Amino acid sequence: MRRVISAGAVAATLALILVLPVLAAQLSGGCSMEVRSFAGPGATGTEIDNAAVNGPIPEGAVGSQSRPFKIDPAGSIDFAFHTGTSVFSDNHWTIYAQGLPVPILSGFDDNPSDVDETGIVEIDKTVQKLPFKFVGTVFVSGDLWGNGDTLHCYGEGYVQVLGDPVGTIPWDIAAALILLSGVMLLVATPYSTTWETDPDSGESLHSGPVTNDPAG
Amino acid sequence: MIQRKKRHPIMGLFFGLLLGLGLGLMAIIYGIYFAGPMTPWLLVGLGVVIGLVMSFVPRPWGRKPPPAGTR
Repeated sequence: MRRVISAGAVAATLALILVLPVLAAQLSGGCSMEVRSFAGPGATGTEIDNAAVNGPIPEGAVGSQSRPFKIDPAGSIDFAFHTGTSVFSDNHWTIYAQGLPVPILSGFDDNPSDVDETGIVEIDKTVQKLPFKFVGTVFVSGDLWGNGDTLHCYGEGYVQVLGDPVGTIPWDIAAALILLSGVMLLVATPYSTTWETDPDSGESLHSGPVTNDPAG
Repeated sequence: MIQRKKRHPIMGLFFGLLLGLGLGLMAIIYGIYFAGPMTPWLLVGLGVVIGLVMSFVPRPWGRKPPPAGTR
């Protein structure tokens, strides 16, 4: 039975490893988006990256696992989101990070006038709300629901915050966790052996001890 | 004299979890997603498994030999 459970666990892990990368990165539900990131605020300065997303994002395209959409932590993002031919009235939206069920951003619009939504996201203002500097690549996903939840768009992809991660608080915490736990796993966790006196020692024959009788 | 083995599975679970969290955080920081978006969480699970396995592996140092005159 243990072998069956172990084999099942290994098979499930392999399936996750092989299938999940294929599932990632897309914008579905008839929605599309153009996006461009800049090094400065207000869509100014050097252009960092740009992408146009509609449907699945193939591996190697901007927003995919191997080629995340790059943003500058001191810059901004200029975006235009389109909902195809349908106006998402009474809509609400949520954005998640790393697949956690708690949204990092959410909002709603009761009366959108058309199928287009444009804007500029100031990344530096968002980053300043964090208690620490973050550099890394985050898997971001989001839902847009409208018309009494009969219309739905779903998007997901990878976003890379540019910069040197060494010395940032998340990097320090991760390095400390790996170092500390590695040492503790090597030194303190493995089982230890001790030698004790056998509590059952001194037992003899059921018929009584054999005496060394020189006459016998 | 008899040999007693003292295992530490809770300690292994705890420090394995810490190891997994560290590895998962590093995966996010360096953008390593070899298993897709679930990679950091898989690494957390891998750390827990490593910790539990380690709690059943004898350490080669600090082991007390049997007292002299016993086998």
